[in-house]
Amino acid sequence: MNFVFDNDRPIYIQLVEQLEIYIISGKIKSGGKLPSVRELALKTKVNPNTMQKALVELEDLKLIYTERTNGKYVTKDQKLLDKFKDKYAKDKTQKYIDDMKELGFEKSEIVEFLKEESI
Amino acid sequence: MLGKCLKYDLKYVYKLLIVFYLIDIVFACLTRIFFGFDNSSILKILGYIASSTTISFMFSIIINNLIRVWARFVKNIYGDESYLTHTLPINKRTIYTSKFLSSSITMLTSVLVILLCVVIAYYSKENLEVVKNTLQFFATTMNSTTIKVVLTAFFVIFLEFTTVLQAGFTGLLLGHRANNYKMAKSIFYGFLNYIFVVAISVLVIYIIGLFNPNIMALFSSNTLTVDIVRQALILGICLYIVLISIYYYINIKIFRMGVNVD
Amino acid sequence: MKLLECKHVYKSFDKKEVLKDINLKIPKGKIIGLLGKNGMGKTTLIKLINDLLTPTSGEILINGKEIGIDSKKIISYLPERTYLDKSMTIKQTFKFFSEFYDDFDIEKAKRLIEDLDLEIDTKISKMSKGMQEKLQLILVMSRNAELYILDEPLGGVDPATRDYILDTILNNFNEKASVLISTHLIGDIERILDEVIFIDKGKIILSSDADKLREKEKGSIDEIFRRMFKC
Repeated sequence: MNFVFDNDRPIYIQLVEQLEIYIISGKIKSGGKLPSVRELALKTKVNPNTMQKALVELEDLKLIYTERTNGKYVTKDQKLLDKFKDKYAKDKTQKYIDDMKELGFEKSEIVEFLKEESI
Repeated sequence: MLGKCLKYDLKYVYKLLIVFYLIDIVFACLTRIFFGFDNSSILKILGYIASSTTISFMFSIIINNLIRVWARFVKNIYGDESYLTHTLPINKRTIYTSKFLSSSITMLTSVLVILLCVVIAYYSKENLEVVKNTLQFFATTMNSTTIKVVLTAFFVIFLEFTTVLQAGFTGLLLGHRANNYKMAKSIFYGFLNYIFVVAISVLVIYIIGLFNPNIMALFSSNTLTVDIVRQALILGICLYIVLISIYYYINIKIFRMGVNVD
Repeated sequence: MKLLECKHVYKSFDKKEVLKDINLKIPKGKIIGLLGKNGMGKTTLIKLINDLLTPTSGEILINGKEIGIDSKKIISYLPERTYLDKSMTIKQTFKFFSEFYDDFDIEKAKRLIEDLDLEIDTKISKMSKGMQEKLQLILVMSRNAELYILDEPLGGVDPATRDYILDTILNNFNEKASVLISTHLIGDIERILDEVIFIDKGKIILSSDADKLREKEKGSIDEIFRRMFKC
């Protein structure tokens, strides 16, 4: 779990973002158990309090849930995970298009680029 | 906790002193060996060399004892190591008592080693006669008293240098309350308080002399009787013990007011 | 009852006032940065908390009690300098710490020394300065203390050592203890801080949750600090 952080923005927000990606990309399966707060903090090299804050956020977003005696789990709600994945995909695509447009490319040229690039 | 502190304090001082102890004992033995050969003049010369070395090392032992104990005090309480000393979970009283006890214990062993060297190098019936004769006032009394006087003299030396050690501690404690020129002020305060204590002691002895003719005789008379010496010794030893106790009490008070570590 | 509380603490040396009206509260379970330029009072404050100096006025309370044996039992202090007897070996320092501190975990210390590939019989005088500093860090972190105080732990270390130090601090974290880190190298350490305290010219200028400050001032703690104290 090699997370990289920027000191310019609140760490816990960056943690939420990176954990979201980690979860929706399936690195932990839907319904799968998360490591403990302490383990996660050690793996990502952050303050356990910050990790705790991030996990609370993720729980508010319903991406994870807590089973009181057993720990934290990734949501079983595949639809929610897909929704997040879609949103990320759309955001990334929009950013790509905006960047290309800034370079001066037209929409058709952008499509050509995508077709050529082996995905 | 006191025992643990004492262990480390003693270790530090003895690390150096043991060397001096051993050298002095070796030369004391050599002195006796060389002087044992009456016929050879070369060996007699070696004997004198060994003898003077033995005696100079006796002074070295005392001086190094003083310096090493004071150095330990400064290093442990005001130097870099003090960042550890003052953050250990021990009372300030315990820290100081350990310094006090280690200084007394090492001074005691130093004086005993010196006494041992004197005995090894110089003890003989003839020498004892010489001592007896110079202490003329004991000419009429028994043999054993001479030895007692010598032992008492060594005990007084021990008490004197223990007092000097405490005076040094006071100087260091007062000197290091300042922010600048800590060592200079320490030495100054050390001398000052020692001289002050000597002056007060003389005053006290004089006042007691007003009530005790024997003691007064110390100031006026030229001849010494057994009684005078005996009373003087008793008074002196009591005075030393009182002084050392006062020093202990005052030094702990100053120490507990807090330190000023750079 | 806070773990550490300073109430109206002043400290002067002769006529010079080095700390002015210091008020702060440190709770359990946090990593807190005491941030400021060199010579602004950080080390003086830390020395006061550790009984190396006495306040000119004001109170310092640890778990509600005055500084004394009880506070020293639960504080683990890493000063900027080497405070060990250099004639000792690493093994002897472990023995020393176990003798005086009930909460010293000698097995943990041995493990940490092994990780650094150091021989336990090495004399401190024979170790490089960097290694001596790491040894002191290990001694401090091997105690199960309630308050760890680290004075400039990152001063003059290479990036690999810096990471080692930050990892050791994080690995050691537990909710019953707090870590107070004093430094002027803000950028290196700000990522792990819960709260920050800015100290300048002997006064506390700011005290805040780290992420909240980033959100509010839109920048890194380092930048915010520079903005506030433009020379």
